[in-house]
Amino acid sequence: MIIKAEKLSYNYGQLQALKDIDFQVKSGELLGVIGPNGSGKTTLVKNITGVLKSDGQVYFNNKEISLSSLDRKSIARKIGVVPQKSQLKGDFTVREVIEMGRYPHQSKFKKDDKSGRKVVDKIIDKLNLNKFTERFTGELSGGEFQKVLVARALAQEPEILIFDEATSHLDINHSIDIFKLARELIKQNQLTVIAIIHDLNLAAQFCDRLMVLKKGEKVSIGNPEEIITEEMLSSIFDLEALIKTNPANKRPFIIPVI
Amino acid sequence: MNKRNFLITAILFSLLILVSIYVLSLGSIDISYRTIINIIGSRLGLAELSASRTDRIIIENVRLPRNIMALLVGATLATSGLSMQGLFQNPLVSPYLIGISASASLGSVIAFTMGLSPSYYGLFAFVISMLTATIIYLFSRVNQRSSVTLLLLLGIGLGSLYSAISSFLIYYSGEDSFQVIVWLMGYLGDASWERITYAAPTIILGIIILNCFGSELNIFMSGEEEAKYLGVNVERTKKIILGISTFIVAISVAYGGLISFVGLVIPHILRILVGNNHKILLPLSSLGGALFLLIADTTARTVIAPIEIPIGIITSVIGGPFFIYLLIKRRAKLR
Repeated sequence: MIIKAEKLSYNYGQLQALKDIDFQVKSGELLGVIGPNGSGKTTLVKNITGVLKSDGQVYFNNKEISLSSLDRKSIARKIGVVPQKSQLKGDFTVREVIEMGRYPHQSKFKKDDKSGRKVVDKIIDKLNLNKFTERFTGELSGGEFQKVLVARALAQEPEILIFDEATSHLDINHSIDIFKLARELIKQNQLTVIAIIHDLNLAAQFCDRLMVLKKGEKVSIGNPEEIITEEMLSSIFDLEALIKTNPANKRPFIIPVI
Repeated sequence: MNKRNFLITAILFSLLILVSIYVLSLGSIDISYRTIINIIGSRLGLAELSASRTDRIIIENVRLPRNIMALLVGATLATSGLSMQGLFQNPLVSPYLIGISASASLGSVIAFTMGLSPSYYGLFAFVISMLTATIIYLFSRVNQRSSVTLLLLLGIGLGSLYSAISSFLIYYSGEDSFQVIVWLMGYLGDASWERITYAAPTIILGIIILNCFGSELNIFMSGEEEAKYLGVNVERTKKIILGISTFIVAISVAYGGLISFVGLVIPHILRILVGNNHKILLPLSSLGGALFLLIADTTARTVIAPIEIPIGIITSVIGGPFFIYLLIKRRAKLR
C-alpha cells in the first residue's frame, strides 16, 4: 500500500477534530472521503500532509517511510494538494503558477530549469492548458483556474494527489472533468488519489472506495456499493433518500426524497 | 525573466550608474565630470591623476563614501520592505511600521548617550532590533499561524514606546543632542570609509541572501497553508527573512538614521510596473531603493545648499502623499 495511517488524532484546543483514524490506500486507487460538515475531512488532509502534527502515525510505501521523518520538500514530492480555492493573490501567469509546483525539486544552489520546464510543458499539454499559459490567473474561469491548480500539484511529480474539496464550487461538468482527469492520471502514471468530496453522487461514480467520517471518527470504509446505503445516508447525513443503480456504470446513485 | 523585465532591470541599472556619477559633480563646489572620471580612473589604475588635491579629497573622502552609504541604505530599506510585505502578505508592512527602525534608533541613541564611538551604534541597534523582531514574531503567532494585525499593532505600540525612551534620552543629554536629533531625522553626512567598512559587507550579504528568496515569496502569495503543501518550510523561511531584514535595517539605521517610507514606496511603484513576481521584484527593489535614496540624499544636500535638509524629511515628503494615494486606491477597491 502507498499510504497507511494509524491512530490519527487531532485536537483544536478542547475540540477533538479527529479520533483514532486508521486507513490505508493502495497504489493506483481513488479513495473518496465523505462526511457532513465538521466531520474532520480537511483536518485529515492536514494530518496526512504533516501541516498539522497528529498524535498518530502516517507511513508511505509499505511502511518504509514515516511522515514524521520527512521535511516539507520531501513531503511535497510525495503528496500534491489541490485546495478548494487557492488564496493566490496578485498577477501571475498560468505558467508561473504551474512552475511554483517545481519548488520541491529546486534548491538555492540547484535550479531545475531544464528538466523542470519539460515536466511543466508535458503537464500543460496533458491538461490542454496550452492556450492559457501566458494568461493571468485573474482572467480565468473557476473551472480553468482549478485545472491550473491541478497542474501545479502535478508539477510536484507527487505519488499521491489529494483533492481537498477541489470541485466543491465548480459546476457539474467541470467537476466531472476534474474527476475524469484524475481517473486518467491514475491509469497513466500509477498516481494515487485521495479526494475529499461533498457531492455524494460524484463520489459514488468515480471512487474505488469510500471512507465515511462523522464527528472526527471513521464510520466505515469500503466499495461505493457497500457504503452508499439508505441507512448510512439517514444516520450520517440525516437524509432520506432512495438508492438506484446508475445504468451506465452500475454504481449506486442517490435520489433524495423531497 | 522575460524581455520586458530584463529591459527594466537594464534601464534601472544603467540609470543607477549614470546618476551615481552625475551626483558626484553636484554640491557646494562644482567638480567637472572629466575630473571625476579622472579621479576614479586613476584609482582603478586606468589613468594618470591630474585632478587637484582639493577636488580629489572632496570626491574621495566626502561625496563618494556618502553616496555609497546612500546606495546601501536605500537598497536595504527597499529590499527588506518588499521582503516583509511578501512574508506577511500585506502591502503596508515595513521595517519602519513594525517598530524595527524605532528599536534600531533606540539602540543607537543608547550607545550615543553612553558616550560610545559610532562603531558601537550598529551593535546596539542590532541587539534591540533583534529583540523586538523576536517579541513581535512570537506574540503574533496564534494557533500555529501569524496574525498580521497583531504584528502591526504590537509593532506600532513598541515603536512609540521606543521613540519615547529615545526622546527622553536625547532630551536628558542636553545641548550635545543636536547631532543626534539630526541623525534621527535621517542623515548620511557622517558617512566615511570607516563606516562603510563596518556596514557594507553585512548589508551587501544580507541583500544578496534576501534576493535568493524570490520563489518562496511568490509561493507565499497563496497563503501559508498552500506554501506548506508546495514544500516551503514556512516557519524557517519566515525566521530567515525577518531576521536578515531586521539585521540589515538595524545596520542601516545605525549609520543613516531614521529614513521612512522607502521600504513602502519603492516596492509599490515596482509592483505597478512589473507585477507580483518577486524573482524580478527583489533585484529591482534593491536597485530602485538605492537609486531613490541617492537622488533623495543629493536633493537633501543641494536644494538649499549650503544648508542641508535631513534626508528623512525628503523621503517623507514624497512618501507621505504616496501612502495616502495608496489608501485612496484601497478605499476605491472597497466600495
